[in-house]
Amino acid sequence: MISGYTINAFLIFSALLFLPSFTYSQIDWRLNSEVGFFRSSGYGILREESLITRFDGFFKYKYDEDKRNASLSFRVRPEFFSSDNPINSVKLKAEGDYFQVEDNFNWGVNISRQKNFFNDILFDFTYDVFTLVGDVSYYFDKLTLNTSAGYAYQIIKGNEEYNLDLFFTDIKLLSPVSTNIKLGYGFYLERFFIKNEINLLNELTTNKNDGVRAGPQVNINYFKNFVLNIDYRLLYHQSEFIEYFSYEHWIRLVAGKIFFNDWSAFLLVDYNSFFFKKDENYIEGVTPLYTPLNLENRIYLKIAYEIDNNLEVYTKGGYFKDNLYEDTFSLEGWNAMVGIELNGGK
Amino acid sequence: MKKNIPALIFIPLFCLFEIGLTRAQSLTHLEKRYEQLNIQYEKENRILDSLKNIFSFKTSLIDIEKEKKNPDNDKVIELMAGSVSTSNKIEEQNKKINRIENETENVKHLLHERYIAKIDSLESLKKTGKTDEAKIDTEILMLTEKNILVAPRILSLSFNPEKILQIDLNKTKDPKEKTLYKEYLDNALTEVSTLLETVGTQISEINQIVSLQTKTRKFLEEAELESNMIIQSQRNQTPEIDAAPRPVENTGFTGTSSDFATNVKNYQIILRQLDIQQLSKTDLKLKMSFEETDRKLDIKEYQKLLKEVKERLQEFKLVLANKIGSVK
Repeated sequence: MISGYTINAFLIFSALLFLPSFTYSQIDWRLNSEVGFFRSSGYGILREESLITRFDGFFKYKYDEDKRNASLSFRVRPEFFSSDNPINSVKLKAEGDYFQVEDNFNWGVNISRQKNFFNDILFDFTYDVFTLVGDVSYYFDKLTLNTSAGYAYQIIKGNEEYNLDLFFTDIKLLSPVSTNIKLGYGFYLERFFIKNEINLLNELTTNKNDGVRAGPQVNINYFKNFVLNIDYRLLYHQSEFIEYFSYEHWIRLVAGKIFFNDWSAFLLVDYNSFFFKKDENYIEGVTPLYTPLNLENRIYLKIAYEIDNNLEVYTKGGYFKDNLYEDTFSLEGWNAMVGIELNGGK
Repeated sequence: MKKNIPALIFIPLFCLFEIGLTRAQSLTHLEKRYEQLNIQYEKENRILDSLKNIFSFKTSLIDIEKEKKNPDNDKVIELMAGSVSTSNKIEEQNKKINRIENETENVKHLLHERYIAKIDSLESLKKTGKTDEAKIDTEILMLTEKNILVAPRILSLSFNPEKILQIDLNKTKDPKEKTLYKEYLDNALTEVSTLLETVGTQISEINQIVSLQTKTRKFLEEAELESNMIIQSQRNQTPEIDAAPRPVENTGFTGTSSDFATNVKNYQIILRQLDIQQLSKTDLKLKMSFEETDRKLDIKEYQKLLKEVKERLQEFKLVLANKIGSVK
C-alpha cells in the first residue's frame, strides 16, 4: 500500500520537475514531497511505527503598494500513513494578511482558518482552527511597542467534541541591547471558554470551563549571520476548576543558519509544563482544565540544500510529545523525513 | 480560411513593425523634448535672473529714495508698486521653471527606461552572435553615455560624471592637459571600483539577511503544520523572528529587528556617501531620508536600491574604462 503511495509521490513530483519554472513577482508558490518514518506511542490514531508520505502545496498572492501590502495564501497538505490500518490526513489552511504603514506606527490584520481531516478504518477526526488578529506597532525613538489582540476558536471533532474560544492580547516592548540583539518584555493575557462533549457511559455529556491565562513574557532575539530567538512566558491560570496558585511555563527556541551559501539548518524547540492545583469539583478525564492549544513539547530540526533558486532538497526530523488532554492522554514519538521542494516567486 | 492565411501572417508582422517604429520615434521624440526642455529651462532661468536684477534695482531705488532727506512718497509708492509687480512676476517665473523641472524629470525618467530597455535588447542581440559585435558595442556605449546623463545622479562622488563624459583624451592636444585628464579618469575609475566592491559586499550581506528571514519564516510555517494535533493558532505566539523578518512581505517594514536596524544604518552611511537623490523618479518605492529612522525601511526595497546603485556604478565603470582604454 505504502509503496504505491511512495512511488506515486515521486512520479508526480518528478513530472513537476520537468514543468517550466513559472515565476510571477506577485505570486509565491511551493510544492513539496516528503517520505520518511514515523513512530509514536500513546493515545490515538498514530500509535504505530509507520511510513509516511506527504505532499505540500502552498500558493500565495501578494499585493504591494507604497505603504500597504496585502496577501492571500492557501495551503494543502495530504499525508498518508502506512500501517496495518492505513491513515490518511489532509491539512488545509487559508490565510489573509493586510498591513499598512503610518507615520509613527504600523498596523495590520491577519485572518486564518486551518482545517485538518484525519481518517482511518475506525473513525474520522477533524481539527478546526480560526484566528483573527489585529496588531499595531508604535515607535518611540529606539523602542518599539508591539501590541496585538485577537480572537481564536478551536474545534476538535471526532466521536467526542472539544471546543475552545479565546480572546487574547499581547503587549511587548522591544528594545535594542546591542547591534544585533534585541530584548523584548511584556504581558500576555488570554480569556478562554471551553466546552467539551465527552462520551461518558455511552452518553455524550457537556462540560464547561472558563478562565484566564495571563502573565509576563520575555524575548531575546539575535539576528545577523545566524538567527537565535528565545521566548519565555510564565502564565498564571485561573478557572472554575483550578485553585490558586496554578501556572504554566512556556519556552520556545528557534535557531537558524545559512552556511556554505546553499546549505541551511534550522532548529525549533518547544517546551511546555504546567502545574495545576485542581479544585475539589474537578473530575479526572471529564472536566476540561485547558484544551490542548499550545501544550506541545518538541524538538524539530531541518537541514536543507538549495540546488538552485527554485529547487531544494532537505531532511528533517524531530521528537514530539503532545499533551492532548491535560496530561492524561499524550502522543509521543519521533519522525525522520527526506523531501524535495520546488518553488517559485519569492 | 486559407485565403486569410497571408493576412493572418502579415497583420501581426505589420503591427510588430509599427510598434517598433513607434518606439523608435518616441525615443527620438523624447530626446528632442529633453533637448527642448533644457533650452527652455536655460531661457526661463535667464528671464528669472533678469527679473531678479530688475527687482533688486527697484528695491535699491526705493532705498535711495527713502534715504533722502525729503523723500518723495509718491515716487516711493510708485516704485514699491512696481517692485510688487516684479516680485509677482518672479513668483510666476519660479512656478514656470518648476513645471519645466518636473517635466524634465519625467522625460529623463522615460528616457532612462528606454535606454535601459534598448541596452538590454542590444546585449541580448549580441549574445546571439548573428550581428556585428563591434557595432553593437559602440551603440551600447553611446546609449550608456546618454543614459548616464538622464539617470538619477550619484552626486557625492568626488568626480563630476558629466565632466567625465565630455572628456575625450584623443581630442586633447596639450600633453599636460592629457596627463591631468588621464589622472582624473584613473582616480574616478579607482573610486568607482572601490564603491562597487563595497556595494557588492552590502548586497551580498542583505541578500543573506533576506534569505535567512525568508527561510526562517518558511521553517516556522512548516513547524506549525508539522504539529500533529496542536496548532500554534495564536499568531502572537510565533517568536519575534517572525516580527523581525516581517518587512519582507507581511509588514513591508521592520521595526523589531535590532540587527537589521543597525545594518540599515551601515547601508545608509554608504548611501550618504553616494548621496543618491531623485529616488522617487525611479521605480523604487523607497524614498530615502537619512533623518528618518531606519525602521521605516523596507528591506526588499533597500535591496532593490542597492542593486540600482550597483548597476549605475557599473555603467560608470564601463564608460571610464572605455575612455581610458581608447587613448591612442
